[in-house]
Amino acid sequence: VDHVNARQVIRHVAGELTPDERARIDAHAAACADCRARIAQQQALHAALAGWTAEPPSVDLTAATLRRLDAGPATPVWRIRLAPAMRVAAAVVVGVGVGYAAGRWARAPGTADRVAPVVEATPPSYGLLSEPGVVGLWVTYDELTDPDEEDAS
Amino acid sequence: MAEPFPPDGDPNLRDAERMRRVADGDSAALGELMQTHQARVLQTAYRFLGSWDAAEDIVQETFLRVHRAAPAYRPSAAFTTWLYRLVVNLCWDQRRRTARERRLRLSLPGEQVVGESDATEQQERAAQIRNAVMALPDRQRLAVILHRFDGLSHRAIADATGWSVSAIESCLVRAYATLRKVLQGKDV
Repeated sequence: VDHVNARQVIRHVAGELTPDERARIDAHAAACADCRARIAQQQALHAALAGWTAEPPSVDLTAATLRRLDAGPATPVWRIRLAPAMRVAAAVVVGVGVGYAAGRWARAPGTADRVAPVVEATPPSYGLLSEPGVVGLWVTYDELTDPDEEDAS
Repeated sequence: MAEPFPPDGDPNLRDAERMRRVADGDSAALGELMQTHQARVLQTAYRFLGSWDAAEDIVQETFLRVHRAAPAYRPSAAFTTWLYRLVVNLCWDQRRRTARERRLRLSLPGEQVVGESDATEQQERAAQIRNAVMALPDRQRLAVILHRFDGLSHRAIADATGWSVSAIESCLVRAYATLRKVLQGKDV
């Protein structure tokens, strides 16, 4: 006996089966309590999900979009929203870079006697690139990861 | 001057005609496309991103791209298929940016969750479903939103996302199994 698999159950409930497939599955489910139960569970979930009604706020996006169109090439909204954060990030990078360069200068031969105590008090901090000749903040971005990555590839 | 298109005509032909008018510089045609499709775009983006502000941004960016792409648009498939592809790409990009922002901030602002003590039973139910869907991994969430809430077929989801039908079915199987488990016994 070929039981109904999970993919067929989903397609059945969503009305995506061909008439032949549907008839075959219905015939099997009529005689198989397990498959009947699985289809009923998916039907119940399908119906329950309709309970998430998302009522949008009443804003006139058409007018706003057409205004942006009239204004010519525009900065994407996300970039506008991120602008303050980007300014802060840039300030941090510059600050760390300057600090690092100053530290390297202080450690250079002939300068240790002048600023050695300061250098001793400020060891390389977390995230700072400390390779010779490289100045910057160590920031890595992992790409969006998902447990299903292998399934969707 | 474009001839008036019959309002009760084939929606795909009507949208193709509007796109032709947009390409000719008729911004009113873009307004008509927005009036027809923006609610769907808004809800899809909201359900995926969990924020009306972000969803509104997606709507605007989507239709600005529609405008830019109109001269090159060829109605080889339904307009909505092409539109969904734009929306999915923009949502995905936005999600990536949000993930990066979160890593930079090293803290995640609390999600707005409906379900205060004075919420109605219906609101509570909606909040439980929303939270369960929002907790799904991104790919699964997107697949469920397009499948259950937008009513797209597995093939149409594949066209919108660029994933294989098999991968989408795998996502849906896992997502629905998780939702069944999470929502079980919650009177949903």
